[in-house]
Amino acid sequence: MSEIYLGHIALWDGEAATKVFEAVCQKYGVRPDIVQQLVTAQREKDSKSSINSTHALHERFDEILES
Amino acid sequence: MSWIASIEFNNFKSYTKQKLDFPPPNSETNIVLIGGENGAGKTSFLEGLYLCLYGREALTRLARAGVQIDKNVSESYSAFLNAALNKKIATNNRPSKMSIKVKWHYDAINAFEVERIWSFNIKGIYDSQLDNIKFKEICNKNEKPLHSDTLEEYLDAYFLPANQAEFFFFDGEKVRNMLTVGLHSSLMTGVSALLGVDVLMGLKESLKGYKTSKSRKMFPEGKGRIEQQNEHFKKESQIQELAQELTELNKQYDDIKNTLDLQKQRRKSLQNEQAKMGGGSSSVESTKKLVEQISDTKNSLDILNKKLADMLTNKLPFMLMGGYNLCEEIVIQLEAENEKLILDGHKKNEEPRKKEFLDYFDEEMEDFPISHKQSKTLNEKNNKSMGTFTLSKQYKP
Repeated sequence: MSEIYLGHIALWDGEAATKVFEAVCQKYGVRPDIVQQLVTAQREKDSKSSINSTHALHERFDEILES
Repeated sequence: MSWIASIEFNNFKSYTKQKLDFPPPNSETNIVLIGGENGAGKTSFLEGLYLCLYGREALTRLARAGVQIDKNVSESYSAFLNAALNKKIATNNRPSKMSIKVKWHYDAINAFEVERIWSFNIKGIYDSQLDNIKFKEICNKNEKPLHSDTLEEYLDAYFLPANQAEFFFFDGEKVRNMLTVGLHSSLMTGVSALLGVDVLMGLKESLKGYKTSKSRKMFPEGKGRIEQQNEHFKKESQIQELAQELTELNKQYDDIKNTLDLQKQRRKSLQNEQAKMGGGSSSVESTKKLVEQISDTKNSLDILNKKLADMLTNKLPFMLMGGYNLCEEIVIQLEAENEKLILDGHKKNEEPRKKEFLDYFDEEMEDFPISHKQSKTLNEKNNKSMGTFTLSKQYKP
């Protein structure tokens, strides 16, 4: 769990914040690494770096959620 | 620490060609204030900075930084650029270009440089097809070109994300307005951006769109779509409930498993204890055998107790009274009595036969000429021989 990089989300930056994040994920039965990948995809879409359309974002979501 | 090292304008608003350099900050001087008379280009400077760094997003950010943009151009990037082209250039009836270049350092010797170049036709109308962004990294005076698509990523990582820019680049004259009029929303937006909440909100919206898109694929337009969707959501809800139930059951299973493990440990501990006490191996089979052995032993003990009780009520008092000899004498006497009883029985049984014999004897002897004395002697001998029984034990009447 601690391997998950959430530094780009200041809200979850730091050990204490990561623990809260992990607890929330556990509460809702979501894998933290999946959330991290979704956030990364969203940021890539926002910055239009490698994901430059909603279609491409949805395709990435498919990849992440099917993994 | 990062800082803006220089900014260069070409044909941007009142700046035809202008470059401004800024020294690296230190602990004493780390705020840059730009002053000037009205119309000197202070606001244009701020607009140019935003425009170069953040492109289309500059308009939104400038409004938050206190810059009031003419309503006619504030809603369109193209309109804003058309208005930003230097008037002298815009009216010279020739295609023209406008550019802004910003260089920022991310440490003492390394820097990034971005230059945006906008093109206009002979009428001074912006042509988005000819947009050009030059982006490069300058490492110790060596230049390394970077793809313009990565600019935002580098700004986020090495300088200042667009959503936080208003906290660092703003119109000082409008700060009072920012604090009184738009404090709440501005602050909320800024803090939200600083924490990354806006990314999460964006993700939330994207996932909603994703869900809708998936739903449309699953339930194409047509009759019964709503019913199908409702049925699907109902099933989904049931699945969630079942999943919750499964979670509960798993929890119960874990609890039971833990209890079972504890009981197993306890059993093992008891078996070990039993083995230490001589119970042999710790298997159930050996325990069963042990119980059987205990039962047998108990039965044997009961028999022994019974014998002991018999002994106490029969022989022991005699032994205590006269020792072993008395007891033995009593036994011999009892055996003799028993034997006598048997012999008496025999004698009684033989009595009719004895009489029959004697009668027969007398009858036969009538034919023999014997004296009365002889006859008496014979009768006595017969009686004696037939009425005498010898006891093997010494009988004391």
